[in-house]
Amino acid sequence: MAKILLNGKEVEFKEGETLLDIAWRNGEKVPVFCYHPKLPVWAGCRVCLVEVEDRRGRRGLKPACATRAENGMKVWTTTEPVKETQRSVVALLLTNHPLDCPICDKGGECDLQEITYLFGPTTSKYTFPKRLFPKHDAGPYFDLEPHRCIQCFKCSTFYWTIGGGKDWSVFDRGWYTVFGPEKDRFVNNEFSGNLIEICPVGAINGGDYKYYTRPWNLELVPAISPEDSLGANVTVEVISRKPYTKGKMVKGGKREDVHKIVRINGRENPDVNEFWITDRDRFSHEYVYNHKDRVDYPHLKSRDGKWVKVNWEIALDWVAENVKGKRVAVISGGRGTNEAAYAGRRLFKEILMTQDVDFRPPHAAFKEDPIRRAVGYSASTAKVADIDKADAIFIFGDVRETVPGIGIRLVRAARRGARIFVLNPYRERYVRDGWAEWVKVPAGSETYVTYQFAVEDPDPEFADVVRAFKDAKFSLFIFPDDMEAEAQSNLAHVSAVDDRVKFLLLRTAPNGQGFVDVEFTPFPDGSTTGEILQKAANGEIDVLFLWEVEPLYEYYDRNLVVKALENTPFVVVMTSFWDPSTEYASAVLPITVPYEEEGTRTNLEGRVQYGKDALWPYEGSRPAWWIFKSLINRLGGTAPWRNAREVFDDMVKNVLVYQNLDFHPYDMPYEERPYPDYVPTIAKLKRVYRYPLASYRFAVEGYTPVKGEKRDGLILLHTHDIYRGSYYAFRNRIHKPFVKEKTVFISSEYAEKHGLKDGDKALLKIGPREYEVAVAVSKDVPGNLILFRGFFYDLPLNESITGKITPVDTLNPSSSTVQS
Amino acid sequence: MTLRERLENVKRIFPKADSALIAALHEVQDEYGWLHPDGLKLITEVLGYTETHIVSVASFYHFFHLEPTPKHKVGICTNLTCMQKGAYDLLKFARENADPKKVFVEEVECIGLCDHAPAGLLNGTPLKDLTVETLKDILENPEKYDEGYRETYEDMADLYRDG
Ligand code: SF4
Ligand code: FES
Ligand code: FES
Repeated sequence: MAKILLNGKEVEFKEGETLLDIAWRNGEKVPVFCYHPKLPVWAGCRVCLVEVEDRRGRRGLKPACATRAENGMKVWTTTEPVKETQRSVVALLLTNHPLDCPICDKGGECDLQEITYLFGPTTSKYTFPKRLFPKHDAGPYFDLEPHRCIQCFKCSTFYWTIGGGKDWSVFDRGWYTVFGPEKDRFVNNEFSGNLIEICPVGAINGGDYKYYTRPWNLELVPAISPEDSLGANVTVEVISRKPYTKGKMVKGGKREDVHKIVRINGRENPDVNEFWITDRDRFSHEYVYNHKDRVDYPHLKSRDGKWVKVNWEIALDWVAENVKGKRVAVISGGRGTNEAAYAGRRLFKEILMTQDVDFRPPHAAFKEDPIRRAVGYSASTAKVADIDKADAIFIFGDVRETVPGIGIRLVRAARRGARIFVLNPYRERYVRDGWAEWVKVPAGSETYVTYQFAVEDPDPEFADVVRAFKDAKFSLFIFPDDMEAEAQSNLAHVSAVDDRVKFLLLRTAPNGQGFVDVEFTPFPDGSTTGEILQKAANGEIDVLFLWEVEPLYEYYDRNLVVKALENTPFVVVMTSFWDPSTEYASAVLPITVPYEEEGTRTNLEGRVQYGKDALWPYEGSRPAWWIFKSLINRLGGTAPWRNAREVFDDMVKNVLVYQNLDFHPYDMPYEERPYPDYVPTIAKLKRVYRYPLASYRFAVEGYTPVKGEKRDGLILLHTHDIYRGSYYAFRNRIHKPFVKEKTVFISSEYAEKHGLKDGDKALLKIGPREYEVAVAVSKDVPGNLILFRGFFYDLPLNESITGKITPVDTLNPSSSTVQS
Repeated sequence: MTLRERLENVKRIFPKADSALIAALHEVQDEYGWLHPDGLKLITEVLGYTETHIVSVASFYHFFHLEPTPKHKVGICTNLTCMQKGAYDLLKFARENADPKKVFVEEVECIGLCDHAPAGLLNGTPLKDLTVETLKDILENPEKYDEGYRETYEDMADLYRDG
């Protein structure tokens, strides 16, 4: 084993380690500014200089972060020359750094503050004026203070190499160097919020946390982001400024002032999100306090149609009485914890004896699970970290809008030379930014395209991409679970018969995998969401439960939903928000939002992750599992659980895939992050990760790929939107500037043909109906495609649509009749 | 040649976009007198860079103008020799008398014409032994003095071929 002499002590090291790694591992204090474990080494700040003598006796100062250890090196980290350089580096940085710590948001967790205190000079000789910059509005997420910048380049390196963005850079030079987007542009990258975390000083501040509090007032709670199925590990930072005294609130205080999420930061988990989280994970917490929207106590509808606020006893008794012996169906959004899903399954499938249980939106609610049909069990065969190993990646759909968090690995894969193909009807973010190649798939022809991967002689149009697939040593399919069922089966089948191929199934429901695992599904012979709605509309269902879902926003067939809700005598809505479907409810049961309850969630790769409760439940809201448990007990079953942990333990015993779980997620320790240290605080957080699923996937015998057909003609494609299509995120005002309201994207060809311009109002005719929409002309959209993103709620697409796609008759320029 | 053709030419000479960028910026500045957004847009199309990146690079260099600037640029050297021969007076004179719509006056560092100090440059054309009178004439009729020296990249191409 190779050795170096570190401060006179002999220490061992592994090949390729830098002096910084070794020094930190051995507890030596070496300050850093520009170093970050997951960023390329920049070595620009020079604060990490250490004294080095190599084997030939040459002695000098070297940057520890960029110098690889060599056998026989002697290294000193505390000699006078080292201290002297540290002092002068800090002194020089401070010449241009305003000493406004008292009003700076970073105060208390600022690397410069800390390093100045520990290693810097005690006085300043600098008496000249410091530079100032005009204020620059960089968007809702940021408050830029470029005069505090110390030019460590971390933000740019992050933005280019990890976020994969192109609109952040460094401008001007010397004294006036400024980092940021171009003048008067908003930063627009789904990972941009991470800049706030990695900036070592207060040059980049968060729009939500701005001037709110100090880090030492914060309680750090490890949680799992509920926004998408990646399950990014986050630290929810809760202000506990004036805590309750003896259980009572401080006089005059508002509840949200004393116990409120002020920001969300990333938590290290090298296998899932590394350190980085998306802006959707980071900035979506305002909805928790949107008290006007939140349901506080159970509400029952009286005979004259008025809401009556009742306590839980009454509400549950009433619900229990009304569901007993009735034809019950339940639709969920797949957003709850595993515990809740398990308790729900027990209630509905075992107590109420119904198979009409589903969590998928109608367009993805297939009668037979497409993955299970091909490979035996419905789960991804790949892990998220496999993206780093694959040399060819085939992405179907628009990941940026569905599970944006995997983007960091896609950018990295592209940078290391893996071939990435996006098979999508329109050009999406990774193609636009040059990270991936675009294979144009006519909308609605996914099955046909996926079939080409399974056959020897593919359609010449797709021959290139299929060749890349055949040549690759390890390739990966990434596709959403709301793609055409046959297309999903085809891909799963291809990966099952060839072990150089794996697939990653992007669940559209944030906890979709957990819901599948606990069998909160209509299989084998229940009704899917679409069928449930149809049955309800026909009056064949007596009691309909809606659990954390807003069908009027999320489902394409608004008319059917309305009819279903109207024709069902007893609708129970379990929700946190007064959404439109509560109007049709007979009982509204308030449930907690994700950060108010503890529990586990399973991410898209089958990883069971525990999130702690950061807040008390709002007023009378309760976790969903508790509601199910109470109903079970009222309906003659036994559910003895007292807390989520007990539900989990019960679940492990009863759910097949959890049987080989070799750890208890609730016991995974986490380290609190009290104050910043001289090493990047972020690196010290604990890792919480494991897999429960054994890889027992196999090619199902007798399954043969389906050919499908190739479509063309004008298509209206409805796809996801990162903010507008997300159940929690769209409730936050902070995302507003990035949300395009009721817009259709069309090609310039199409626009020309119909005399439309960017920004025009137009009439969208679908069947007999017309809708007024705004037009955006985009060069990413091909000629025969009309693109609509996000929830359906403003655009009540109607019964003429089957599935997600429909031909459009005409898209006319707005005529004068529209104005009225 | 149109600007686009010239940019394509630059791209041909410097196959790597990184090396081509500065030359491309020069071409745009030659065309418009400054880095007009239309020109930058052309660069994004030809070289595949984002506008942010181009502006970021251009803003590093003193002689690239991101604000509207006239085509004729008179640079007056203010280094040692020229300074001793009264360059600052000339500069002051130029700044006061130039028509900002017609010529842009800037300070340059030593241009190797110390034997003809005070010296200067008009869009790359050397101006030797300047006096107030000649300078006045230059400021009034810059086109008369501009001999059209331009950077040519053909001879540099070999230098960049492999790197
Ligand atoms: S803005 Fe922050 S992260 Fe970026 S260079 Fe300046 S100090 Fe570093
Ligand atoms: S030079 Fe090593 S941390 Fe900046
Ligand atoms: S000092 Fe003016 S040209 Fe050299």
